[in-house]
Amino acid sequence: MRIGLIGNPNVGKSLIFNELTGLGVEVSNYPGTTVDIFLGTICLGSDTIEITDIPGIYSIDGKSESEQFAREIILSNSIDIYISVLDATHLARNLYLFIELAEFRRPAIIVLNMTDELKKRGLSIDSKVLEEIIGVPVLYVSARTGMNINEIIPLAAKRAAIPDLQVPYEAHIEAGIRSLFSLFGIKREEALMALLELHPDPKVNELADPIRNEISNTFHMTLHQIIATNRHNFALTIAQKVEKQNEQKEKYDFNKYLTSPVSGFFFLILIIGGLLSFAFLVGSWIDRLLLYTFQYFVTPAFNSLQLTGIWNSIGLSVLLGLEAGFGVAFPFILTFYLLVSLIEDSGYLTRAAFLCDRALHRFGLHGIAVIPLVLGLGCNVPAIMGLRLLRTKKQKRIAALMILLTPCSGRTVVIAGLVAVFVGLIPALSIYCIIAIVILASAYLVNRLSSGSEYGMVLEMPPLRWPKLLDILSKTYNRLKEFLFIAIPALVVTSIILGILQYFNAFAWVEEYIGGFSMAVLGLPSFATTALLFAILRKEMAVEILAVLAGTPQISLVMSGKQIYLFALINALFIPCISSIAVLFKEVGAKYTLIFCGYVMVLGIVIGALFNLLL
Amino acid sequence: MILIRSQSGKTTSISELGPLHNGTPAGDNDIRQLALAKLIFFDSDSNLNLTDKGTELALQVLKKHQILLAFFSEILGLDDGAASNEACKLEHSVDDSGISRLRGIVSEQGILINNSCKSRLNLSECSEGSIIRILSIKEHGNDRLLHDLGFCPGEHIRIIRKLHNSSLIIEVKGCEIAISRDVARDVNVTEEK
Repeated sequence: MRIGLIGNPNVGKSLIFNELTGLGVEVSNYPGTTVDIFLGTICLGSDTIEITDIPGIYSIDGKSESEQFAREIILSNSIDIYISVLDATHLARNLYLFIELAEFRRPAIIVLNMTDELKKRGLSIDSKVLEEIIGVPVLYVSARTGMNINEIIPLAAKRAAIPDLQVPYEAHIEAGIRSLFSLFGIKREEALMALLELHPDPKVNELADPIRNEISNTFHMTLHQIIATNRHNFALTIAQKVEKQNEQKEKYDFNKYLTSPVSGFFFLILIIGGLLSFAFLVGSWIDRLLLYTFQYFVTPAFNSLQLTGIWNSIGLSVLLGLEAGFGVAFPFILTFYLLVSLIEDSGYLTRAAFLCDRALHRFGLHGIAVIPLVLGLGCNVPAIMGLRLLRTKKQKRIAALMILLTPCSGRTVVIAGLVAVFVGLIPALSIYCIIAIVILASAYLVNRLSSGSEYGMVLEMPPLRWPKLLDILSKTYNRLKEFLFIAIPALVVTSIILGILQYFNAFAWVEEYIGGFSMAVLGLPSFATTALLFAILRKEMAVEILAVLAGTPQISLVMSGKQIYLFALINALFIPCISSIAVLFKEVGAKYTLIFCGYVMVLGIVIGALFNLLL
Repeated sequence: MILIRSQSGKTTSISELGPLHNGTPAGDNDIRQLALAKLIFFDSDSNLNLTDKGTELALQVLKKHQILLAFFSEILGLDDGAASNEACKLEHSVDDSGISRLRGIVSEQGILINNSCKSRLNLSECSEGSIIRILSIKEHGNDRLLHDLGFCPGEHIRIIRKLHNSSLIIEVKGCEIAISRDVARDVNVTEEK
């Protein structure tokens, strides 16, 4: 049996999904899109049930990728039963999506989430009456307290029913639906899709053309506007029948301080700055702890084996690869992913988006761009995928370049693991300032040079919530998986290959070709420049390869403070990693991928050379 | 009656009648007739002015114009220019009982018949804390999203926060939605008392 979870964004759908399926969640990519689908399998008695988490959407009629995806899932009949998750505190708004689902006449149950929140607001909902009106079972749950979560699947499996609802549309629309049926035999739900120009068969859409044009000329509104208004009004009538305001409660609202012009910006700087420093500090503690473990326990243990010749080289390479991967990169990747998941889940990002909206308009963007940019601090790849939040091509391009320059956790590894550890915290932070200036200047430039339309932000701001630990850990784990199971093995293999090459002294040519340029222009030893080139595989590889080539993770022994600083600065710009180039290609096309990558590379060399002269 | 028609159709200020004397023969002829009917007179600077009787008549026509305008724009959903043109054509031919029924329909819908068109604002012109009603939303790429979030004609919304000259937070159906200023410009609203 296949069950689908459907609901608005921010209704606690993923939380319910996580509670239902546990940590063993499989993330897949819907073909041809960047929409992530979460799949989980659970057992009910002797049955296996596959649960799909359909991305959070406001409407099945929308034009965004996730809305189109949801529509295709519903039309393809690939799901047997829908669990419609509604936010009980905003019943009228949430019923809108359910009404759309009901019009497709698929078996469903309603799960009213956040019922614990209802009492706090002095509200109550009569589920019996709701069940009667809608014709499907209704279950009170609270994903935060875990109330009734275990009841969801049994209820869906046993009692799911086809909703018994019919929206009373405006008379002209009803007439249109009737004439489409009497003329062409098109069923009600298909006629509605045809009127909205959403029917998968373009011929059916064409049949509805004259009716659509006539109605929209009569009302001076699009059909979607009329139909949406009818549905909202219908949802409101249902909500009014079942909702009861028992007592008026004034809630203390901290939110207003986060969005006010003065204190809002104060908190923005405090929160982002505080969390960044926290991630830095905790990261470097773990970093030191792991490095000491290697230095005092693992390396002596390896030395006591007393291997000789090439085996010693290979053994050392494996050790260095692991040391660089776990000791240097892992702590910062861990803390940064934790951090990004935390701001994402708390709902604070939307406040940041609101505050930055106007500033970003100067760069041809709008507030929503804050979300991919902050995600970019974790990893550029999901951030570039997050560009789908922006609608126009121009905005996508500007934001893509900004993300490409945003220091991801990989680059942070180099800045934090090298500069903060060996040079100092202030120089490390200064690199961020330089990059911030570069990002803003580049965005300004692209905005000036490219043409295209702009349209502003429309973004729901969910109430602030304390993120749930389980949720954050599961998100972080999902993001770390790739690093642990792909990057670390790749690193060890690369390290072994490099070790063997070094054993046979194969790097002489590098000295010859890169050495002169590297020393003269960038002020870096040739092995450092070689390490920078390897960063194309993964940005944090730069520091790992540097350790491998230098033969020690104690970089300060082989490079001066200035060289370490320049190394981290150039690495922060220079070549984007291969995975981000790949997703960039998908999102903005070959031409802009080439332009942006070329631009970033040249920028890295120019700024490196400049600071080499200045410092 | 050409003069008064065009005047009441365009502006509420009666003293502005003066500059409308355009000197064309047809206009001159109309003015002569109006003067004969004692609706207008020339003041010492040879500017045109309405007599008391003329003012009364002009105000009656103006009232009809406003009711027709409200009907065309708010109930039939015509855009401002078209609604105004239609109202200008009909304000003289419509009879009094017709207009009073129309007034009934318009006020039943809770639509204010205002003295001017200024009640129609766009969302970005409203101030923080005000409760307003949506009249219409212009077509745009984001259009569907706004409607799906509950921005529908007739819906009451509240401006929770307005950053200086920039983005707004709007409460719609109990949810908070942040929108940019350019999006707000596409939403026509009217302030509620």
